[in-house]
Amino acid sequence: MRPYRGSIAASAATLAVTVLLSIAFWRLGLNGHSLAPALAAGGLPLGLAAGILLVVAAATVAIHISVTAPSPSVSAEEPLLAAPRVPAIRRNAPFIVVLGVRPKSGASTLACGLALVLATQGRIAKEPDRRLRPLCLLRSDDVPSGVALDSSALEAYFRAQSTAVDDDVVDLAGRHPEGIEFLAMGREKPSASQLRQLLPVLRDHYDAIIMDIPADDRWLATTCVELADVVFLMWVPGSQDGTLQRWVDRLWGLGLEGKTVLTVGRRRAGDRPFSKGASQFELEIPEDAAIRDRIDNDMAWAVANSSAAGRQLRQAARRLLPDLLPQGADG
Amino acid sequence: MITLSLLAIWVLFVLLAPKRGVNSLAERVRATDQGHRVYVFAPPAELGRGFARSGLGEGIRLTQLGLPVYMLCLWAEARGRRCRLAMPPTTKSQLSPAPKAHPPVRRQYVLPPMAWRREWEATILSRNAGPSGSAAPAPRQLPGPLTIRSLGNLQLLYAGEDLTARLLRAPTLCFIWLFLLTHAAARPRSSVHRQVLAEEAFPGIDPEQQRGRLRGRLSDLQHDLPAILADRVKVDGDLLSLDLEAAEFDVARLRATADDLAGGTGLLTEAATKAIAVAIANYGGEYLPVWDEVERQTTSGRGSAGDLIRAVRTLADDLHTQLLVRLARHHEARHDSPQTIPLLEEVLRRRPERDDVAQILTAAYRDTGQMIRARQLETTYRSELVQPQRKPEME
Repeated sequence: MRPYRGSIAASAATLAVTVLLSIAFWRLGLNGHSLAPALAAGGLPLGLAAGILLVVAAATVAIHISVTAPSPSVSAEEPLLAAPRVPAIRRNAPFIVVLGVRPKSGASTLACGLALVLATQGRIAKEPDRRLRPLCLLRSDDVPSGVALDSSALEAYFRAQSTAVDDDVVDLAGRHPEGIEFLAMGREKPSASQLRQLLPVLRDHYDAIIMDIPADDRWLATTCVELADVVFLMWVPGSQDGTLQRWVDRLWGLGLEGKTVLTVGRRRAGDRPFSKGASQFELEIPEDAAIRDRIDNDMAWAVANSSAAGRQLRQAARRLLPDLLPQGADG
Repeated sequence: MITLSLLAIWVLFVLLAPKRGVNSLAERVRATDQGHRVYVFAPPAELGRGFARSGLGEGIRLTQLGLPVYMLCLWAEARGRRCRLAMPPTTKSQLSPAPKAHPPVRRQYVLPPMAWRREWEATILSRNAGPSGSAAPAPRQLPGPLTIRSLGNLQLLYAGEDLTARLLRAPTLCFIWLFLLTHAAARPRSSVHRQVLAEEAFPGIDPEQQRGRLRGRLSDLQHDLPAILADRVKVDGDLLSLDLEAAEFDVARLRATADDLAGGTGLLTEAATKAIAVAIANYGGEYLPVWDEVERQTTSGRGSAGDLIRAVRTLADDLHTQLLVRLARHHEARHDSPQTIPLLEEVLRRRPERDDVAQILTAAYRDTGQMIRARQLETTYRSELVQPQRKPEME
């Protein structure tokens, strides 16, 4: 009922005004007023028109509810989303960083979803007969079910290989049935220098590298955003503690505004949109039951046509990686 | 009458005037029409089940939007519903998912080929000899034998000319010629039956057609290949072979050196040491690395010729390892551990399963005071020896 409170109140208020006016005409003897004869003269046609309209409206409602079942998937008003504005990346094996401003801001959900879109819909023009193989670097807790992965393997590898990262690091990655590979960062996340060594090796083996970084590790995050081809700065409306502003200041201060996409997760109809010109690049991911009700970090929402968040993500991905995602892949 | 008029005006206001902002109406209708939204604005109020309650919910929505906008919304929502029903549930590529990434197979470590150095030195010599020799014309030299280098690359040299490109230009003839060469490397002085070669060169077709095609290709030999290469192919009835009697073939030379000198463990003569060192240095790497490409072009890998190539690759690698071990044994007999160590390290790199070599290398490390390396090697090989004993317990 919440979205209708305003209109019900307006209707009730006008009804009250109508009643008051009627009483006023009747009690105060306003029959001599110039408005009264006009109203009296128009009473019949106005009543007729109102009656016809009432019948038409009632018939429309009756036909509609008898023909169409209400959609159970939508219980609240869907937000009106702006079309994604993202930079176009045309390099091989792009490095995409999703930086969650706060915990639970949906960064890993976005990273996994983007990886699934690439793995299921992407292809390279020069090798049209193969799907893409993206890699997701995540925190241990966020790895989807069905992926056999030793969450401390990368950590142990970095401890053993203190000087160089070799090709055999790809053996540590767990594979999802859709062809995405996952590497868990472990408790001791890689240092900046380890990441600098790791990235070229991963670029040799994967078509895209997507990394979900917690913003609490400031040095790692700073290194990642410098190395990244695009940074999704992810936040959810309602968290107004200034963290987003600090990260915006930091990224703009580093001169990375040209590759930073200000990303709003779980956007609802009532949330205020970004002010125009707040950022060169913006992406809004709506609140979606397909994400909220998923089990074990399932990523299917990203390719489901019924998911509004999935559609928005796919649209953004196609604009972001035009060489890897051909136009018209999405239905 | 006045009250009736006012009520009528109120009803018209309630039913016609939208009570919420409709400035984004066009955008919303478009998104709904395309199936990207279920409802243009909010869904109907949930008042419960049943016709009357649903009707009341829709009535409230009608009140909010006004009848014209409400009907426009119903139209857009119906079109969007049809659009969504026509969509597949998910959009996925028909291709199978990408396989797991694996590190590449390590590039084979090879010693620098001596052939380069010899060529380079010969070039330098000829340049140096140039000015003095320009006064008097050099005596005409005989072209010499055909030189076949197949280890690490493919090179066919005759009379100072590289004929490799001319062979590779004719894929089927190249396949036949290299198959016969490989057969000669694997089984010297033996022949291949015509049908076997036909089956390998033209797999998957009728035997008669195979023989016919082979006959045709053999008759093309003289036209399409340089005479020195074509003349090597000997046809004796149904048997074919490659005559390498008058050719310098690196695999044959490696085999001859290994056959003559690789046996034994003691000291070698100076000439034998030099011969082994030259054979080791001339080993350029894998036998016929170009084969996979030739096979892919000709038969798409359908025949079993690749097995023969792999057998010769293994053979050449074995011979090279034998020579490395033999030379190391010679240095060991001379108690020259600094010379022994790099040779044995090379053997262990190629054949990590050689425990005997590991033992000699450990001793050589100790001789030269490299105790840490000796202990590391001992630990590695001890743990590898212990592991197979533990396996049954784990199972």
